[in-house]
Amino acid sequence: MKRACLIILSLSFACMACEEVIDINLNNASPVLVAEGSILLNDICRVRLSYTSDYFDSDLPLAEENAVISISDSENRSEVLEHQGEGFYQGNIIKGLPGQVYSLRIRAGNKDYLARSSLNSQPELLLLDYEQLDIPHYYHDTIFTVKIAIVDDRHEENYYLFRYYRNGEMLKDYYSTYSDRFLAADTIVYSEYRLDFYRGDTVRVELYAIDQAIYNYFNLVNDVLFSAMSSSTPFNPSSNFSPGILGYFMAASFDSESIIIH
Amino acid sequence: MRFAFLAILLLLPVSVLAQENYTVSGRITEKGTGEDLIGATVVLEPGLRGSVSNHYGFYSISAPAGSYIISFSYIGYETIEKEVTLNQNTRLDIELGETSIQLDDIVISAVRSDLNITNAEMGVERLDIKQVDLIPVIIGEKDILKTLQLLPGISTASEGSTGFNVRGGSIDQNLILLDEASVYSASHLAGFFSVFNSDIIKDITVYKGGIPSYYGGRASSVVDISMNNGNNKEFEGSGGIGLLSARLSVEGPVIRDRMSYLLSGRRSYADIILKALPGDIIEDGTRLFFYDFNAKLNFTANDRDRFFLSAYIGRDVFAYEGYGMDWGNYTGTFRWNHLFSERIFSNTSIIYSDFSYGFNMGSDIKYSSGIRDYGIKNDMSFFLNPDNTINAGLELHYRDFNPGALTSSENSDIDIILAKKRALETGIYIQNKHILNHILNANYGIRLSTFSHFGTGEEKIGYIIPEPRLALNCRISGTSSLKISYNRLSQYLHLLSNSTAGQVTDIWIPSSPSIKPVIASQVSAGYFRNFLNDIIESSVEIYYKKLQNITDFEDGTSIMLNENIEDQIIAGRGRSYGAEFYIKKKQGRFSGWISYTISRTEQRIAGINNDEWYPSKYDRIHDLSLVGIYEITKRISLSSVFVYSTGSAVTFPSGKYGLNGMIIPYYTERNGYRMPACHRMDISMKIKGKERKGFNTSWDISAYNVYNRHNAYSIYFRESETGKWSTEAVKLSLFGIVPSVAFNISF
Repeated sequence: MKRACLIILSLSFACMACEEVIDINLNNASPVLVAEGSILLNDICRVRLSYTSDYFDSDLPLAEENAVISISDSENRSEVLEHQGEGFYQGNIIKGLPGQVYSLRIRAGNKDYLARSSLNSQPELLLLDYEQLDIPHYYHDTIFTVKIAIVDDRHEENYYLFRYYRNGEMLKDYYSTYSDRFLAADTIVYSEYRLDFYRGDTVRVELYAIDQAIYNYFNLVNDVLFSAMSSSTPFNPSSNFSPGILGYFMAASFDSESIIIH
Repeated sequence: MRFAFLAILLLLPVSVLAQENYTVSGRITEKGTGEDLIGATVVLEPGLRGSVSNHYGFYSISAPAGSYIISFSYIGYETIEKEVTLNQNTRLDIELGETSIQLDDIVISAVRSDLNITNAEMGVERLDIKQVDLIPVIIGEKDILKTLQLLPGISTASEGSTGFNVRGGSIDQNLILLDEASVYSASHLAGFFSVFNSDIIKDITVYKGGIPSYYGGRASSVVDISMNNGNNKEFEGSGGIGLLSARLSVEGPVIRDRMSYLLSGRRSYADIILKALPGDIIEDGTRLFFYDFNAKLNFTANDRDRFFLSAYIGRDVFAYEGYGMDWGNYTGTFRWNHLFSERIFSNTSIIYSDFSYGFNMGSDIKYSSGIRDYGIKNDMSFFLNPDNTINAGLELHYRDFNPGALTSSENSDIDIILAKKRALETGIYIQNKHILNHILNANYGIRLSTFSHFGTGEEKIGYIIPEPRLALNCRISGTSSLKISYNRLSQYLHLLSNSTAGQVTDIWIPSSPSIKPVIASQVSAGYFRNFLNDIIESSVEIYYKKLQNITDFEDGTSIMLNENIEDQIIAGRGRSYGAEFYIKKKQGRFSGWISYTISRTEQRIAGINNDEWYPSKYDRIHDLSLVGIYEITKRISLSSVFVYSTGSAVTFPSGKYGLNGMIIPYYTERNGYRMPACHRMDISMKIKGKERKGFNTSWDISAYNVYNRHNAYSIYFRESETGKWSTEAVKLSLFGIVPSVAFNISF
């Protein structure tokens, strides 16, 4: 009887849930400019300009190579970035300093775009550790999650971005954002349970201190990427640039640590 | 609106001037069980004065002194005729027995055969539980909410879901009542199964338009579900076991003919079987099940007073060691029927309803959210004369809202407790069911709803909204009629949800200074025609509905534990219009119906889609259902359902861009695309065992989606493995062909 029940149950439930790649016609939107700009602590400003492409287009996106980009800080020092090829631009003189608010101006296709971002003081990654998770896995005996302890100033609102590397390669689809708005303490311990690590992995974690606008932006990108399978309405994450352009400009200071999982 | 007020003012005095009559009144019940028969017809001849029994089986009919023949009828039951001499008010309780089942006599509808023509109501559907029992559904779990979705104007929120949209309304705009108590989340197991155990349901009525002023509080529809009272003649029981759950109901008299009880339970049992099987399929610490428990007690104290106590408890539990979540409803209703006179019937109800959701992460961190509703309602029916029945009443609901609280027993620093909200909603209404002449009859009335949000300072707010209701029926011939209706409805409750079908994590909040009540105004018109001596009913209804203050969120709004959510809600307008075609064969070996709806539902919200109108996610242009039931022999019946609907409006990307090595989709217009059309066929066979005295059995064998169509549940987009910049669209289908079997008993 048990066996019969199991067979019927399996028959019923095995018929459920399947995924298949399908052909679908999508409209082709006019290309829109996309900017990825950053100025990190003690480093020059780097910007990449590209355009949106058709969704099913497998060619790399077109780069904007004729833009004029300038960066300035709170003390009105400024410089024009040089084009390095393929839409990559970088500065020479201005380097990221804590307490400065940087403005990035882009002129492309007769339009001007402006973004501002503040560079906060350097965060401190106190400890990087790992712990074993008691969850079965198909290929690995044991799986681990990383535990990160950071120093936080409980008297001001701070925003953080974590980036992860496995064996030297950045896990580009997974990053974490954290705000101490809800939990302010001198030491914050954070674990990213979405990421599994395995025995032998070298894990590097970069901790960025970011401003609120960038924190909101990366949260929105996370929502767009990870709500794709749900039925909530998708959207374009709003940029910290003036309207008409996608992407972001981030000023940030950072700290990092590495660990090998034994 | 002015017209409705004027009509009410002009017509009410006519009722008051009615002449002196004598009254015959009483209860109409089923012979075998003593259950009240709702909607049984009473006709007094000569003069052909007619009445219909109310929700408690009570009828009252008045006529000048004289001798009459009074007849009582109810489809599927014998008709009883009696001679009455009216020289004083007379009490006449009637028991109708079921007609012996003939092969050509399978009755699908439980309403008077031409009530659809004679009654002013439109946009109303009554489901008989016999229908629900024969119609195939997924995994063989009989489900009233899924059967409702086969009716015109009612569409499925998403495949396999019990969530439904009525004439383009969102799921929170459906008022679902179980013995008058609101059920705030009507589903189990992520929305795939409804909380209603069809074994103990007596009556299901859904109002899509022309909603009487008796009901209020939601903008789109009312689904009024009544539980059986319990057999007051003898003990009986029923039960069954399907692939998903097992159920058992017992009922019987406490005091014969005067007091009876009903107890019913249902529980999913996959966890029990999996634990019992060899091999650790699931671990000991795992709990994964849902259950429902219904109970009812009723007591007839005397000819004038009856009392009812109903309760429902249902929960879903999903837990693994210290981690888990559970959610569910508790409802309770105490009702007192009192006859002030032969012509004044009163019902007073005290109502409690609670929905809560919670999860815990270990023994330390707990989250909870929910809504609690305390209500009181009094409804008075005045049977003034054969041409006028007035209903008037008062309803009051006090609600406590818990929008979300995350607490830690070890570290109170991480507690996030959103401020609880409290609100009071009242409704005062009056309505007259008025037979103007042999051609025209009308239901007209008004409901005045008020709302107060108790808050501090600026949070305090109050609203008063008049809601006129009108339905007019013009009989064109003995077999056809034209109807028109208008209603205005207000809704002071809002379900914060990011999904189409609704999830248990959705949060109820009251209207506030920043969230105004939803107001729906609807006009509809219909042509109703019966054929073949009322065996076939048909209708065409058209409607136009306007919605004010519908809401959406700013991009990326998080619903859970969001203190600022009210600032991220944006309001707009909506409209829905369409035509519904319905043809139903009610009797004979073959019965069933065809329902087809063509409609559009659109909305316009500031800041979305360049402030232009765009299709709502509830927009289904075409929606077709075919239902056929064929009784091969007395013991074997076959049934089949075919459904087709246009895919819902969705937002797909029209481009992509790169960011930090990630591929991000680029969107242009809101809901500018369509999901693929959805269609499938289900079949079912019911085989009854040999009839034995006191113990009957039956088997239900069914297959959902027989041609194994992979309907899209969702379509999502991802980076493909073939190239660095390649992307692909992926369709997720939930259900292929799903066979099932269930065994039922009754004793």
